[in-house]
Amino acid sequence: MNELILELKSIKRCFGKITALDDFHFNVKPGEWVSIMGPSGSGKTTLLNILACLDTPTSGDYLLDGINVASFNEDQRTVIRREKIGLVFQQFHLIPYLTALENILLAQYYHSVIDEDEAMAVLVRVGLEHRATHLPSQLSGGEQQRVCVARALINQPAIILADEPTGNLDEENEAIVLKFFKDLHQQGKTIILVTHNPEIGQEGDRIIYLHHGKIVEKVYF
Amino acid sequence: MFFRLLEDSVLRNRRRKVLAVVTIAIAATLMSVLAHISIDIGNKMAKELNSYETNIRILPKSEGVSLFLGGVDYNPLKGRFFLNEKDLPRIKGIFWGNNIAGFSPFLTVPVKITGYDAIPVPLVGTFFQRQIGDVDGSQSFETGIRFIKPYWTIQGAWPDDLQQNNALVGKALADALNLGVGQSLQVTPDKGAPVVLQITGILSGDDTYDHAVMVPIETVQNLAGLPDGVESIDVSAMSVPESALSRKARTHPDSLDVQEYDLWYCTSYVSSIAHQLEEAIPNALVKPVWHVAETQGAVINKIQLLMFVMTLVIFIAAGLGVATIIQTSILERSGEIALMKAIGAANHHVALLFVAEAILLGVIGGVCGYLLGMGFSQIIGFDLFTSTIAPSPIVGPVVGTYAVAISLTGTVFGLTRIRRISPTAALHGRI
Repeated sequence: MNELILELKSIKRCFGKITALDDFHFNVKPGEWVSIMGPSGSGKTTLLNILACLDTPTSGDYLLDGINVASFNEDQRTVIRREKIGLVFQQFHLIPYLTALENILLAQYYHSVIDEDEAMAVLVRVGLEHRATHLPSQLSGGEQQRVCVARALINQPAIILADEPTGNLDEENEAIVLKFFKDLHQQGKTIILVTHNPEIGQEGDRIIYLHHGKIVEKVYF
Repeated sequence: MFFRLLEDSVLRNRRRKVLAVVTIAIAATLMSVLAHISIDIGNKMAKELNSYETNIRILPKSEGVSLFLGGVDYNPLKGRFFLNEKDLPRIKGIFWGNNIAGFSPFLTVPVKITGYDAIPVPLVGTFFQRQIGDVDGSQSFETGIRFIKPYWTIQGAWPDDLQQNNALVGKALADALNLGVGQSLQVTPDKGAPVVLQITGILSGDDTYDHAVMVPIETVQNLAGLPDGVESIDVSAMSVPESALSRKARTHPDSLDVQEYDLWYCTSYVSSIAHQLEEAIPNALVKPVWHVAETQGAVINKIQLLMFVMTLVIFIAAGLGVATIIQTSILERSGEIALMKAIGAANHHVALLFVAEAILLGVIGGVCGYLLGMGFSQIIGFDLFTSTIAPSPIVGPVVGTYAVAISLTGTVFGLTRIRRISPTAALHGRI
């Protein structure tokens, strides 16, 4: 096993004359939970795009599970994303015409071969087996986010990347979803979570604070 | 999972999908009509054109010796040899016998009309409408001048072939001699007794016979003392347009190799039909009427070119229409596409969905278009050719392929947009 599951070396990302990330260094160990915080425009989105292999850095290296993916083209990044990364979105983003179970199967379909039993098992894990045939519109916000987590887990990714996963939830559902992340963390999953909520940020092993594309503070717990 | 996605993709935005199917179906309908007509037009046009002019003339071989001096034919054999009426069934016995739409023999003698002795007129013997048995007598065939000159206008009635004194008088002659239907007419040949004829009809619409009297051929054969004698036969044969091969056969028949000869012989060119007639009828010289054959070829080629251009224009127009619909659909679904890409879909996964949808819409549009086109082509067939257009088994697959090609062409333009949709839009809520 690599000592680091994820390593950013001298990452720079420019959009025209604007530098969103500048000489950015960042490491994550396997099983670590890192919370990323910072004000709007601090570079969180750019960092998450690069970490999720949705974008490529202008310069620098990005080693994901030992593979330098910085210069990968779109197709290569798609492959590495579906193999290594599970994404959880703030606004859930489930396909509205697919049931809860089908939304999970879709991620599995793009990854390998669909296995309904396996998808159902993940749905059981997030406590939504009784909602398997329900459309997203028939689920509460918390339930939709749990389906989104189940979809992120189905392909057993090396890293879970979550962008404000509780940002659209009430307190009760926030607690439920947060508990899943804690459980996942305890089970040894690597989690990188972007949040504005310091209380959620403190659930991780450490918090990094961004400002103007640089890490300005690191807090370890 | 793919079919689940496809099912929803097809059923969603039904109005737009119906619009796409209608666009494809309209194009496929036109293609179906054009294909049906284009395939059948050779025969139909040939039949139509042949109804205005016969395209083959059979003469005694002796007529082939041309000896024109100062515009006068000094052929010493002219008028001395005749074809035999008994050989007429052989015309239908050739390889392309089914393409013979009709024929009529002719024998002409000059006569003088009693009371108008100063005016010699041609008395033309022919078949008006009669049954002819084939060579072995097993089948009969109805033919005569009524079938090869359908554009003739008869005031009164056609002569009856069984009534040897029935006569048809050309309009100019009837006007000049003040003759009318029902009147009698006595004609006298140079040698022989006069014959009284009964005028059953006045012929108009053909300058060749405007000053002639036409009677059943036996009447002229009796007057001329030439039982079974025929001096020419006009044949109306359905033929395909002339090609380079048939022109080669026409100008240099000996230059054809065995394969070319077989192909030419087994194709219903007017020249190959003429060749077969010459083989079948003893002592016959068969001459295609080239200007008719060439007119047919030119008209059919131009119509087919026009149809090809129309097909292309329709393809482009429908393709652009479908492209617009698909692009709008992709734009509308860009959020969903971004999400699919974010959770691991490659561009080809998404593209395949749209391609499959395009094929499905193309097939539906193609089937609708084929059926509509078959119906319309029948209406057009009746309107233009007063006959049905035979459904061709090749048209279905051609129209289906055409419809799917339109749909796919339209979709391919949209697929470039799929690649440009960034999955980051899904991650950051911009969907």
